[in-house]
Amino acid sequence: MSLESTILVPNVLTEITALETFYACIEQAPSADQYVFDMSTVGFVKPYGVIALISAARHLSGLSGQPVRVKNLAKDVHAYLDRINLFDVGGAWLQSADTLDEKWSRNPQTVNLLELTPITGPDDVTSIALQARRIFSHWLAIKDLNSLLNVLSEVCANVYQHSGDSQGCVLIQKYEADMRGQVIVQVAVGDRGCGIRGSLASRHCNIGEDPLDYLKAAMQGLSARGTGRGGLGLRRVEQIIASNRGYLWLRSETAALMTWGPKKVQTHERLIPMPGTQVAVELCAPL
Amino acid sequence: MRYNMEKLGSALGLPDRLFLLRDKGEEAYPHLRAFLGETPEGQPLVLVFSANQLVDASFADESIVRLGRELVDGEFGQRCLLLEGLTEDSVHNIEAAIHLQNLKLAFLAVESSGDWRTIGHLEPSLQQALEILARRDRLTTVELAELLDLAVNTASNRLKRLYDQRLVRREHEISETGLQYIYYFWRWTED
Repeated sequence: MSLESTILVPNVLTEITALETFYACIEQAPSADQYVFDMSTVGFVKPYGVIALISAARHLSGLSGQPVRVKNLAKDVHAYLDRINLFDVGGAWLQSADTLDEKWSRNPQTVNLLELTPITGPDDVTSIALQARRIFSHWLAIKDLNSLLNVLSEVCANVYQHSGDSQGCVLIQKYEADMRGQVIVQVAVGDRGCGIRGSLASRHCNIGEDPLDYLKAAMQGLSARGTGRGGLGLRRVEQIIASNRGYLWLRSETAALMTWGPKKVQTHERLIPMPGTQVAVELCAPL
Repeated sequence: MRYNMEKLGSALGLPDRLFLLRDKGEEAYPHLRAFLGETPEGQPLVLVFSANQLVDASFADESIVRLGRELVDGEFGQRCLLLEGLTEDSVHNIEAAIHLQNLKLAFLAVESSGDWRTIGHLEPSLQQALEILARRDRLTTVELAELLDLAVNTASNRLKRLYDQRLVRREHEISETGLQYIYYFWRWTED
């Protein structure tokens, strides 16, 4: 008899730190032949929440050998997840159990987002940058658009250069904060590779015991490259988010840090173990 | 010698006007190194960027900054790299690549109009000497010492350090008083 385990996904797929409660649900899930995400309480999903869904689904589908079934999706949530290609790009790990009505189907003309896109090598990243430039030039002045492209190239490159995971992906979404007269662009990138510790430890053996030590080392410019060059990407992203009133969230294994700019850093330890690296970046720009 | 960076971008499969990624910088490096080596001694290699381009910090580090370090190490003799038409965002990224690594390295960012500025790390006293040299086109140690009321040794040191960074070129002549260096600002426009 097949054993099914249903996980009630909490309505936290919009909040970076609150997402830890979702990871806790995943960690506590019993062994099963089929996992199900019950999305009935989920009212909204942001890019980093999508990356969390994928990370969790990759973990659970790896355990069960079956894609996680996603059910009880609110129509607008379902339409959004369909719009961003979640069930295509992540089809090996997530499948919708619900049917999306025609009237909710995607509008390919919207220019608010870059769909979930796999990152397998440099050509993917340059293609992502090109698409992002086309899409977000509708909303962003050149300077802010270039900030976005800088961030994208640096955080996406880390996936294929350091993680060892060929199935990492990126998602970008633009929001308008009308009250503040701002455009907010959120970028989320995730992989289930070797993580920051796994990458740095291959070349530096005395950084520390805790995954957080490795995150801090990465933010200080330590690189896994043997050429002596490198280690600029995350620090450049940190500078850019500081000048765009944004943030960078960097999570790997059981540690994370949130930075709003150099010396404005909050660290998190003893989180739920999650392989690989998950990154969220937010940039603000005038509307 | 002038080289259009768009050509290189196309050859590397880079999107229009986007010079991104360390890998692509690594691919660009041998091409640029070869162009620099082919540049006649005493002349600059002018890398011409098209409008609205973006060079990210990693691409810059692996190509332009790497070549800059090699220029300072004396690998290319009296040659230099001039960067023409860079956008402000590209300048910020190149400066980030230099400052984040605490490199004592500077480049001349130039315009076809003849305008120029330094990007990267250059001490104010050297910047001052460079500006004087750019205005006069040629300068000797004694002339700089007189202009700034400096000891000759100090003036000599400043010009030598500009030369070591390949921000200027120099020639020497032997006069009655001995060996004298004459320093020149690089030229990239046709007068």
